Amino acid sequence: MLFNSLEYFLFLPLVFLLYYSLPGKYRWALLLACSYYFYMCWEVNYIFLIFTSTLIDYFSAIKIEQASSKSAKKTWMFLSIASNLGILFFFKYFNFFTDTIELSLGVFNIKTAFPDFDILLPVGISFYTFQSLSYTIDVYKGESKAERHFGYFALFVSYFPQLVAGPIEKASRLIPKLKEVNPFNYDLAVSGTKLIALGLFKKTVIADRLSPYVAMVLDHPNDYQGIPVIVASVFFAFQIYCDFSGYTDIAIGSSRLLGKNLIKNFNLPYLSASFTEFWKRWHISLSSWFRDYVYIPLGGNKVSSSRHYINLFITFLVSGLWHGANFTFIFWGAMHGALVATESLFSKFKIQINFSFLKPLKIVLVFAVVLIGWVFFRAASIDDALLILKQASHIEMQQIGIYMFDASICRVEELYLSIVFISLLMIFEIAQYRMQNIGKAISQIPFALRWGFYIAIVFTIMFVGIFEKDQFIYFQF
Amino acid sequence: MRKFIIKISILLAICFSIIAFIIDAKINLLRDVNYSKYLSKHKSLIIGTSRSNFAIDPSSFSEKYDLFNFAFTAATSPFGKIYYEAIQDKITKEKGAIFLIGIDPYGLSLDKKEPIFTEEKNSLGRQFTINVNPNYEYIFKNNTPLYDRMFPAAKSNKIKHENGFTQLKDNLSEERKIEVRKIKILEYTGSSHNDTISAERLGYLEKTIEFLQQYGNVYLISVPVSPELFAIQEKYWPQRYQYIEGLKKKYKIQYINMQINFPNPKTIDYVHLELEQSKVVSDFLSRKIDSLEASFAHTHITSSPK
Repeated sequence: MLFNSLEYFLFLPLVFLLYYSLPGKYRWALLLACSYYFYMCWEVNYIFLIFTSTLIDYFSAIKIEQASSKSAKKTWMFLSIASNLGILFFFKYFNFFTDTIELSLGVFNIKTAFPDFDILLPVGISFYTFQSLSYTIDVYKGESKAERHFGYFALFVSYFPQLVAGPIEKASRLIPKLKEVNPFNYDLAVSGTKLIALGLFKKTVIADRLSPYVAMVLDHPNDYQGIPVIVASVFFAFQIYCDFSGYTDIAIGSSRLLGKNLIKNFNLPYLSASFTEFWKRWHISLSSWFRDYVYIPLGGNKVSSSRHYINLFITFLVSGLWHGANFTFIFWGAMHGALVATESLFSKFKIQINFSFLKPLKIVLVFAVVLIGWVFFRAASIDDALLILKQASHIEMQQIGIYMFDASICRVEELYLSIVFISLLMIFEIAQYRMQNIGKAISQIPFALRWGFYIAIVFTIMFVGIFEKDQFIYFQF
Repeated sequence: MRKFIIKISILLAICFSIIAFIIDAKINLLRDVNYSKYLSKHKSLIIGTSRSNFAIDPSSFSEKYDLFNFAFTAATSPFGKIYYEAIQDKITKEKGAIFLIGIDPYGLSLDKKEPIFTEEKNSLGRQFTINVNPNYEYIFKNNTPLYDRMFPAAKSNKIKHENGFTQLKDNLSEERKIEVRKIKILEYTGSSHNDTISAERLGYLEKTIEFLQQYGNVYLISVPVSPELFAIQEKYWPQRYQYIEGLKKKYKIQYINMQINFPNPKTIDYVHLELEQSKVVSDFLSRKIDSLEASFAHTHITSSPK
């Protein structure tokens, strides 16, 4: 059940009405049943997988807490980590791992043949595995108490708004929210509804509109060069942003309708003036997870400078691998690791030029480099990514205005619409960047104008939006 | 909470009203040729794949049958749970109906390696309502973005009819036709290699016959295809006639094999008939059904106890 499907827009109001009509003590059971149903809509059998992870982590955490010796605590934590990562490894990385070994040994003329499993990656496995994993680690570190109520814990792992693509929440934050028997909160519900509308706008009006152009050009790098490749790359940057942040907006909005606010996952990332800032604004919950469970355990910045840069690099490398079993993701992670480490190095030398007029330039520069990263992220292989970059460099001036809007790639009307809607989104985001609280500003607009704006947004989604075509990009991770 | 629900309802009602107004005003411009198949129940049905969809025009048949073309494509309407349940919902369940079931081997097949019922993911499989006019569920699920589908810029080669029949325009050049026919041969050769006749699909064909027989006479039909394609399908399913003979005996139904009457029909792509040819085939089938219905009525009258 996709967030942009009619089914979801029957499911969500039904959950909403049932939730508030039930007595507080039964609400968790309703949410758990709805969350399992939501997950089973993709593939019924994978419910056993999420249930297994839940069982392992539920008992591991209790055992960790009950264990009297440090070594016993460690044993239970490793059991939890090994089983969670084992499941993740099997479903996500096994074929990549064996293929890489076969390829490496092949260089030395050693022939091996590992079995190749034709398995479907369970939707959201990386997200709920990491969320569940953080819980047992927190219990081990004494930062969180083991949850004794199995129902609440199962709901923490499977809570439907954030189950398949985050935001990744910490148990210490989400479980208390799930336990709260909150009365209906009008302001939270209104802000949630607005977020759902914004998310749908990003996904159906922008991301899915850009998708055919991006696929046509970037999937066939031999057939296009120059401007269309650059346009497709820029479009992909907006496609992935609108797809993923749109998903997150709907997730947070849905949860707010149930009176539970989830953490922010995006904060105008394409308006970042540095790579470090970009990672504080893009997929914030994952960046925080890697900071807390990879970067800090490695020593963080409380080590020598050189080790600090290595820590940064390793963290981003692992983050790249988290995204997928492909060298393109590893390269993408390594590239960002190198950029953030380099920035950190320069900040040590206090090389900072703070002229306000330079900020827009810095934003454009960061966006351009992020764009190159997205090319690797999107490409099927490193060779393809390099080919796309090579093809993009073959710019001929006569292409501007002709091939840029090549009707053989995509209908011209669709391209104009894409550009108009991206521009509108950017104007909205820049206004948000400057005002900080755009929601408050909108609420102060005169009633008729404000309602006109809301109607225009919903009407645009219904009339211009593309439904039921593409899954959300981050579901594959 | 009441204030919130009222406000949201008003907002959505305004937006839906605007959309409904546009849809109602411009419904005839909707490019989707299958839309008319999701609007209302009918007494009699034409069932099958694209061969029947593009070949049999209900307007050639007597109005008393209220015949409707409910055939889609081999991907959307092969025999299976989805199509069977849709057929059950689609008929008015009045007595005296006729049901023309197109027998197409590729609508009875499954992939050998991955025997998955892919029609579940197609329009009919995803649809909850098939007898609602206007059908907003269908429009939103299959025709987005709406602005584009209702103001078509591209010229379609298909013309929709309210009786469910889809008319194919012969607007291909001879060179393009040769190209398209080559592709079709490759497609069907590939399918014949990769697919196999499915026992489960055959089971659903029989369940469909059993269900429909409660309301009228069932006729199995073969829509003619080009000799080139006919040869491929004969090789793919050589037991076809034996199987159909079995069905005829078991259910006491008639089989009208129009391949015999039209061994070399005029087709656009070897599979789908040209408009003129579809008219000839529909008229032929209509006369045949009328005579068979008349003979059934005669048998019924003469065999009735006096």
